[in-house]
Amino acid sequence: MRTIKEYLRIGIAALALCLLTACAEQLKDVREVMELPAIYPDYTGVTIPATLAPLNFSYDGPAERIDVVIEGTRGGKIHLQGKTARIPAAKWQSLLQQNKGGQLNVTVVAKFDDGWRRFVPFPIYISDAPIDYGLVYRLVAPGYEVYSQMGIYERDLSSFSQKPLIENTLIASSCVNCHSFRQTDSEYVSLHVRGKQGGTVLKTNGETDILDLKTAETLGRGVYPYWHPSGRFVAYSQNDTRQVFHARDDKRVEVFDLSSDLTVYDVVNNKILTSPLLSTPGFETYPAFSPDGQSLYFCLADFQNMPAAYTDVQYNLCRIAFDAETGRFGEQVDTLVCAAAMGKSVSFPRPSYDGKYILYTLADYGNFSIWHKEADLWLLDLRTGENRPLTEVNSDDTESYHSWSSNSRWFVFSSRRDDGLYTRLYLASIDADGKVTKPFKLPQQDGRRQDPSFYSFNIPEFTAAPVELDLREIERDLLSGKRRKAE
Amino acid sequence: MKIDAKDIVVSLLIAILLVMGSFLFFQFAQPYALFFKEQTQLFLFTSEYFLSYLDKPGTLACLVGDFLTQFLYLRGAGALVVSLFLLLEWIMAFAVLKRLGCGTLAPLWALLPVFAEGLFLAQLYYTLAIPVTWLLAMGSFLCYSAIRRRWLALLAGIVSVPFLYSLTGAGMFLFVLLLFLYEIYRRRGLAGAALLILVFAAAYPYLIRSLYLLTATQAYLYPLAQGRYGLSAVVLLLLAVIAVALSSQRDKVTARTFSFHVLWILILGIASFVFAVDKERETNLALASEAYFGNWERVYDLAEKEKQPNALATYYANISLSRRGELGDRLMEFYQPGGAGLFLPVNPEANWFTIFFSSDVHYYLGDMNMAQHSAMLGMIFSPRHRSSRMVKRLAEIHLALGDSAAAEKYLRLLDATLYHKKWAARMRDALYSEQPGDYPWLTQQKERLTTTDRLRRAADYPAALEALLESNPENLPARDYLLSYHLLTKNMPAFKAAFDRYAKTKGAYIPRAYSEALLIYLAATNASEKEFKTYTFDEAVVKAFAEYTALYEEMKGRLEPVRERFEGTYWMYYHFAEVN
Repeated sequence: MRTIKEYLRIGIAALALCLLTACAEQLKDVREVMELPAIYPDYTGVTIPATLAPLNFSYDGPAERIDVVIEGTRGGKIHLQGKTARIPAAKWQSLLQQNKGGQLNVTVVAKFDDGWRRFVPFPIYISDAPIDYGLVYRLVAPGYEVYSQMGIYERDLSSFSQKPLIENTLIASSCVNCHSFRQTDSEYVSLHVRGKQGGTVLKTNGETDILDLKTAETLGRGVYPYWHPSGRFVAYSQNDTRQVFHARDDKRVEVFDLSSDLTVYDVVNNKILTSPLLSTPGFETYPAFSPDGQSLYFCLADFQNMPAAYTDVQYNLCRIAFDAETGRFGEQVDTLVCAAAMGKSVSFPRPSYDGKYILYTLADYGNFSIWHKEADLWLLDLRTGENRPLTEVNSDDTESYHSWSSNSRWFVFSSRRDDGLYTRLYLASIDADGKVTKPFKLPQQDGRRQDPSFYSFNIPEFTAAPVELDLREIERDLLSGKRRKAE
Repeated sequence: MKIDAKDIVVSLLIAILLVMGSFLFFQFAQPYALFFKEQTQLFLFTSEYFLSYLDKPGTLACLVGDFLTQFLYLRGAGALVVSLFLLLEWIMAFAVLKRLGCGTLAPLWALLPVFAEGLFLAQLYYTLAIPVTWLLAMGSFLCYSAIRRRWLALLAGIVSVPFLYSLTGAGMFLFVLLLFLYEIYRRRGLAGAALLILVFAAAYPYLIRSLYLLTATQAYLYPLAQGRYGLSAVVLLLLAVIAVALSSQRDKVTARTFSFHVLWILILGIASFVFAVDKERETNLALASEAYFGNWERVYDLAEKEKQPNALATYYANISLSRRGELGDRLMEFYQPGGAGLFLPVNPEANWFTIFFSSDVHYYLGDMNMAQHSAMLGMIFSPRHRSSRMVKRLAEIHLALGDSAAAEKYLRLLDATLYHKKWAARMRDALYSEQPGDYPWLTQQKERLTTTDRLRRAADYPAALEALLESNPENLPARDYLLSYHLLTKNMPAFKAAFDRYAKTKGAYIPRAYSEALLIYLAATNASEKEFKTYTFDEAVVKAFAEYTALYEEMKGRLEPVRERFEGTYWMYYHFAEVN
C-alpha cells in the first residue's frame, strides 16, 4: 500500500504547508545569537547527495516555532515556518539539483518565551557524487534471543518511502535476517528465513532458489553472507552463537560464538567450498570478498573457553587468497590488522568497491559490537596501510554495522548515539582524497525527536535499484519444504 | 411506513436491558480484561502513527478500535464503551434483519450476534477493531441496499470489495454475503452480478495479500486474530438466511411465540455471558493491573482472598508479600510452583501473556537489565507490538538508571497519548529534579541497582540476585527472593550458604519458612549443637519440626495424614511438592 500511503503523506504535508503558510508569523524584534541553532537531527555542516530526501528537522529545545530560510549559493530559496522544519519535497529536490557541488545556507530563527532569536546560519554541502537508489535494512526490536514481528525493508533515499521486502509474518514462527546483495546489485540477493520452515533464499539473475546450506561437514546453515563480485560465489560464516546477560546495566548483553568457521557456496555447481585454514579450532567469522574477487577478508580469533574467557576473544582482520576459476583458497592467512596486539577486536570488515579501503568496527573484545558502547568505526587504507579511527563519524556510543555505496563515495552505518538503545542509520561521504565528512541521520518525515519506532535498524545495505522479490514464490517454496541441498 | 408503538416499546426495553446488562457485566465481572486491552496498546496522536494503519487491511476498523481502546484506561469507561458497541451492533443487526425481511422477531434475533460478540470481548486477543469491522460492514450493507438503481448498485457492490477490504478487512465478507442474500432473495434482479461480486470478494484478499505481506489465512481473517472471533458475523448471516426464508410469515407471530422467543434468547444471553466469564484469568488480570496502578495493598488483599493455584497469581502474591516484608514468613501459605512463582519464564517457549508481566519483579528487585529485557519482549510479543504499560516500565527503568536520553525516548512517546502524558510529565519532573529527596521511590530504586558485573544466563536468577546483594547487602527484597528461590527449587545447600552469607544475624528473628528449611538442613547434615545454637529458632517451630518428623516417618511418606496437621509448612513442600 505504498502508493496510497505516499499520496496521503503528500496530502498531509500539503495541508500542513497550507496551514502553516496561512499562519506564518511576522518576525519582530529578532535578537541575534552568535551560535549555531540546536537542531535535531544535527544537520549542521553535513555533506549530502543531490538526490536525498528533505532534511526535515526541529529545534531541540523549548522553541514555540521556527522560521527557516534555506538558500542555495547557486540560486534557489525555500522559506518555511512552523513547529518543525518540514521541507516541501519538490522544492527541496529542485534546490539540491540547482546547487549540486555547491552549498545551502540555512538560517534558523526560533521563537521563545521572550521573543525571536536568529542563530548563525549553517551550511549543508551538496556533493556531486551520486548515491544509490536506496537502503535495505532489517527492522527488529532489540528483543534479545527471542523474536516477534520483524521484517526486511527497502527505503528510497530520495523520499521517505519505505517498502517491506519480506516480513516474518509470511512464514509462521520464523525470523528473517542476513540479507546481502552483490555489490549493491539487487538482482543478486541472499537472505535467510530461520525457523522450522526456514531456508536460505538465493536470487541470482531472476532465478530464486531455497537452499539448505547445512552439510555433514559444516557447523550450521551459514550466516553473514557476502557475494563474490562475479555473482558465482557467496561466502558464509557458520556460527554456534550463544547469548548471556551482564548483571550491570551499562553493558546489557554479551553475544559470542562457541565455534565458528567459514565456507563459500558455489552457486553454479551447488557446492560448499572450504579450506582447513577457514575451519581451524579458532573463531573465523564475517567473510567479505575483495572487489577484485581474489581475496577473502575475514575476522579470526584464537580459540578461548567460552563464556569464561569472553573478554579474551579478540579478532584480527585477516585475508586469504581465493581463485574464482578453480574455487581454491590460498595456502596462507595474512593478518592485515592485528587488533589483538592493540587489546582490541575487529568485526564487520567491509572493503570499498573501488578497492581503496576496508571499513570495520573495532571494539574491546568479541564480535557482536552492537552491544559494545566503545565500538567505533575504523578505516584501513589498503594503498598506504594507514589504519585510523574514523573520528569524523564516531560518537560516544556504539557504531557498528556499515556498508558502502556502489561508487564507494558514501557509507552507511548503524549507531546508538541517539538514545543508547535503538540503532539508527547515519550516512557520510568520503572523497577521492579520503576526506570523510560529518555524518547525517537518515532523513525522516517527522524531524522531531519523538520517534514512535520500537525497532532498531539492522544490517543496512545500499541497493542500486529497487529489490524485486516474488513473495508468493518464496512463500510457496518455503512451505513446500523443498530445498536445494548444497553438496 | 406504519410504526407499531408496541414494537418501539419492545425495542427500547431490549436496548435498555442490553446496555445495563452489558455495563454491569463488564464493570463488575470482567473489568480487568478491558484494562488489560488498553495496556497492550499505545495510541499516539501523530501522523506517522495514523499512517502506519495503512500497512494492513482493516485500516479504519483498526484505527477506530484502537482510538477507543485508549479510553479503557479509565475506570468505568471500558464497560461504557463496550456496552455502547453492543448497543450499536444490536441496532445495526436489527436494521439488517429488517431489511432482509425479518418481522416482529427482528429485535430479538438481533441480540444473538450481540451475545456472540459479548462472548469474546473479554478475550485477550479480541480487539475493539473487530466490532468496528462488523459495524462498518453492516452499515455499508444498509447503504448499499438503499440504492434503487440497479446499475448503480452493481457498481457500488464491485467497488465496495476493495474499498471495504482496505477499511474493514474481514468485514468485507459480511458485507458481500449480506449483499448476495439480499440480491438473491429480496431484490431478485442482480442475482448473477451478486454471484460475480461474491467470487471477486473471495479471490480479492488472496490476490492482494502480498501487498500487505500476509499469509492467505491472515489475509482472509484480518483483523481477527482467530477464526472463531468471526462468530458474531456467522450468527448474523445464519439469521439473515432464516429471515429471508421466513420473510413471508413475518406477520404471523403470536404473543405466545414471541414470549417463547424472548425466553430462549434470554437463556442464551445469560449463558453467553456466563461462558464469557473466566474468573481465574480475570483474577490474574486484576492482580497484574492493580500492581500496574501501584495499588499493592489491593494486590495483597486479592492474593490472600483468591489464593489462585497458578504461577501468575503466585508471582504477584509473592511481590506483594515481599513489599510488606512477609515473604519469608508467609511464603508457604500460597501455592508455589517452584521458582516460576517468583520469576515468570522469558524464553521462546513462554507465552506472551506471562512475558508481558515478567518485568515487574526484576524492576522491583533492581535488576534493570533483566527488567528491560522482559519489558522489551513483553512489548514486541503483545498483539500490536506496542504497549503503554511496557513503555511506562521502560521509562521507569531508565529513570532509575539516570539515563535521560533513553528515558526521554519513551516519555516523548507518552507525551503524544491522551491519558499517559500527565504521568510522563511527572516522571520528567523526577528525572530532572535537583532534589532527589522529593522522590523517595526513585531513590529506593537507584539504591537497589547493580554496581558489580558478572555474566549470567537469562534464567540464572541466583546469579542476578547475588549480584544485586553484592552491590547492596541492604537490598532485602533481593535477599528474600534469593532465599525463597533456593527453597522453592529445593536447593538446600545453596539456601544454607545464602542464608549464612546474607541473612544470618545473631539473635535476629528468622522468618518461618527459613526456620523450617534450616531445621531440615541441620537435621539432614547432622549439624552439631553448637552450630544449631548459632540460629535463633522459635521453640514452637523446633517442637513442631520434631512432631512433623515423627509423623512423617510413621506415615511412611503418606501425604494426607501429614497434610492435616502441617499444611503450609516448608517441610510439606520439601517432602511432597514436585519441582520441575
